[in-house]
Amino acid sequence: MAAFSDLNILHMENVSTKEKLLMAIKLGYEVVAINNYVENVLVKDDKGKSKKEPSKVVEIPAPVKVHLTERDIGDLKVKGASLKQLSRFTTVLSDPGQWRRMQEDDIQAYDLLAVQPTTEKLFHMACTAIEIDIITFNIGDKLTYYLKPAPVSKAIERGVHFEIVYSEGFHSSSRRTFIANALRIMHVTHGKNVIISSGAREAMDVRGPYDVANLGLLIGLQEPQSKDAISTNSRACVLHANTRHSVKSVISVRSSSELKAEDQWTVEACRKEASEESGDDSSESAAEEADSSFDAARPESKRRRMDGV
Amino acid sequence: MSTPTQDSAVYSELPAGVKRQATQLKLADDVRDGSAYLSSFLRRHVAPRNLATAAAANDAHQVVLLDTVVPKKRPSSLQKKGRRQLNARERRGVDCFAASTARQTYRTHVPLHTLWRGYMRSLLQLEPSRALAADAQHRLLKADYHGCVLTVARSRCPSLVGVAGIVLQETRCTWRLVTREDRLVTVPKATCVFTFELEGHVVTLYGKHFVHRPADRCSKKFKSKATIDL
Amino acid sequence: MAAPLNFNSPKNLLVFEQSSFSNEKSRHKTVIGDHYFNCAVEVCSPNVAQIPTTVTASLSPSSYYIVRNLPLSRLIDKEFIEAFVRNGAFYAVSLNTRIDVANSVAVLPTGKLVLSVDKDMYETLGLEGRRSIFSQTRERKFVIEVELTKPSFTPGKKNYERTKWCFSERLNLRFDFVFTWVPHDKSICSSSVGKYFSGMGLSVSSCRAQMMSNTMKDVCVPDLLALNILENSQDLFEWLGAVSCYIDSEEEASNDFVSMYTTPSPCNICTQLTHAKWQGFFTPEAIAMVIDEIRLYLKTPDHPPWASVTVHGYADSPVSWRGKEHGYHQGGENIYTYIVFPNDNYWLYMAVGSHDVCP
Repeated sequence: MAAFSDLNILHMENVSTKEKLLMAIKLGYEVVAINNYVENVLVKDDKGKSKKEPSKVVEIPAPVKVHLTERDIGDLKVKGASLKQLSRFTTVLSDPGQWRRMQEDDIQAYDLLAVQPTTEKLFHMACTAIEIDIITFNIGDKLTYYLKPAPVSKAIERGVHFEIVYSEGFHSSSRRTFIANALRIMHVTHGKNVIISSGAREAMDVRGPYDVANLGLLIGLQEPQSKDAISTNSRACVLHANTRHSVKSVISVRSSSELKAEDQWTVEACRKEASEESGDDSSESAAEEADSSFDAARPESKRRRMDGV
Repeated sequence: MSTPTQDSAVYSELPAGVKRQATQLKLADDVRDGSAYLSSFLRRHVAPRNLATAAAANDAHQVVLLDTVVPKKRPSSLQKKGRRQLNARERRGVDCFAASTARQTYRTHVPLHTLWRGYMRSLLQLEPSRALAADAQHRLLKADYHGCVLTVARSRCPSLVGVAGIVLQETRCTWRLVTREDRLVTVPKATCVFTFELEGHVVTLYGKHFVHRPADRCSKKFKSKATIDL
Repeated sequence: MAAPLNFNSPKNLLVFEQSSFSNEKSRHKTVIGDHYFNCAVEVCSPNVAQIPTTVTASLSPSSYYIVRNLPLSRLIDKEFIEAFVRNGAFYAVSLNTRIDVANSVAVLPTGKLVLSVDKDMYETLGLEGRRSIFSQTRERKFVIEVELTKPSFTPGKKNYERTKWCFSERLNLRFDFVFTWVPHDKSICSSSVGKYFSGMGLSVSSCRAQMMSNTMKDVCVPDLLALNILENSQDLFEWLGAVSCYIDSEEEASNDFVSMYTTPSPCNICTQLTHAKWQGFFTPEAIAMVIDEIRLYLKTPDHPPWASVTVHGYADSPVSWRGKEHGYHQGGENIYTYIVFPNDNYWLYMAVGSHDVCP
């Protein structure tokens, strides 16, 4: 089992994100993703065509990280855990050209990428072609397209996850649609690669992980699947995001300064070898200096160092 | 033609008129005497292994092959000029895949590691303060790792965690490392995550997606996979 | 088109046994003795003003210790194993670790160190283990067992050095533990284990069991002698649970929207029903003593018709009975209840959750 995760805590300008995080910590979540939602990454002109001009580029906000004190995460510290904060970017996919915009550095800087397709063609594109982590839906409104099993299984194969936002079910007006849409998603995915998240606009929208697991039963998941939806599947989604950031899922490179203290042992063998090599070199260079001082009278003879190249 | 008698089953005797003039015709003794001729004939024309059956065939009315069938000799392949390549069986016999454990020590391969570091430095144009360029990162996929000091950071088989050594041999599915304790270890790629450090950059290799022969890796087009989870 | 909706209650298992303490085939010694980690004990009896002092005396002095940030490598120290693990029964279980999402550790009195770890920890720690029986196909949880009392588990041996490296250098694992020690030699004080850890500079606090008591007046109590237990075993267990949670099971209260619990019939009104609860860390020996005191009390002249003893195990312990694996899915209960009668007969209930082996 993995730690409980909530991968959709909405970052809004007028509401404190820190309060939502504190509520999530209190309820027992250990991994949260702060979601920046931008409806359209491209600017449309009057004729309805998308265009991108330097003066009209939609500015994407930088990933948000909330500073939490030791006291804030005290509850988790007692359990020997800590809060992992991730950044997430969500946009509505209404145009194929938006994907090109999403490949730029300001959006790729986010840890998780999510799209909300609006048509069947774009849903197919999201499932099969583009490199994203989460496909989300406007689950409070009626789905305008049919979810076909073929692109869904291709998405599951690629590691893309489908999200159900439970805060949409709080309002009585959208509750029926929420359950109907959730059941449709369960039916087509068979419970695989489904994550349930809060989509919290305020702190009171966050629910406890065991309650969310019970909600999963309500919307058609089996018992083990419903608990997976907030733990293991979320972990798999985050791993998929890490895979996306690696080089062809084979190699990932980072600076030695970013290496955590507990991971230093993984490069100890390399460092030992490098230090021994430089130790040999320095002893050789010390010998060279001694020699050069000795050889001051004989400038022609110089020791050549074998450099291994 | 005289009818064959009981004694002379295989042949018929010479006509009487010929027999009377045997000396004039200078017929050999064995020709005159049928049974002696028969045995000499058989000795001349039948293969030694069939001789016993041939002698018995006289009484048994058996068929004896007089022509020995010589198997056709396949035309020999043209002799290759210069060095001939060993086939797989010969290669296994020569044992060139198995690095002898008695002879491998860590210290003897340290120069190989030094050589590898120089090779990587020139391949990737490394600078400790700058991040590795994107194309340099892609070159890592096709680089040669013989001589690299790899550490197993994570493994589905827990006993492999912590194994570190210089890469002596890379096959499709495994890496053979020599550790500091002079132990030759074969580590499967698919179940492990490896790390090494190079000039201030820590590289993590997900072995699960690196299961290729080193020769094939040069031309291989890598595609992104679903997950790096073991 | 709609998926079948699953509204079932979480899966659980309730075992009911009827036997007598004087029956030589009775399993009560193993049921009590093999349930190592007990966090709460409840005693309930009708027609008594208070729980007998002999019972209180066997539970209240139960002291235990809590140590913060104990490195796991300390539990495999040679001195520790020789002094405490071999010379007594050392009970320890990690505190504040949720077994379904995090890693949990326990030291059994048999000298076994059990770790229940998740996939990430298992792949990075470096110790061989096996898949949890509750996640055979999914590979989520793994169980690692280290035999501390094995003769080959000594410094200098490969296995020991590898374990030490994994616990200290590889991953410096630290947990909060609740522990206690029962020495074989009764002349040795059990507090020496607390002094041993505090001598290392660790934060060790000594704790005592906390008691809460409640007496209910004019309560409807089921008549256990007249009850058809085979038909109503579950109802009786539910009623005992309702008493423990102070739920009103009276007829009038059951019409309320909030609670549907009723007293199983036949029942009669008792002048008083006493319920006491102790919370702490109790060894099987202490529980056995409580049961013995209850049996003796039921043989005294003014004895009640019956008395129940409910023992709660830790929900996040990696083991339940006999070192068998325990998990937490939607519930992690591992509870047993003895309803004791004056004639030495008993009814035993053992309740476990979905991620538990049948006791």
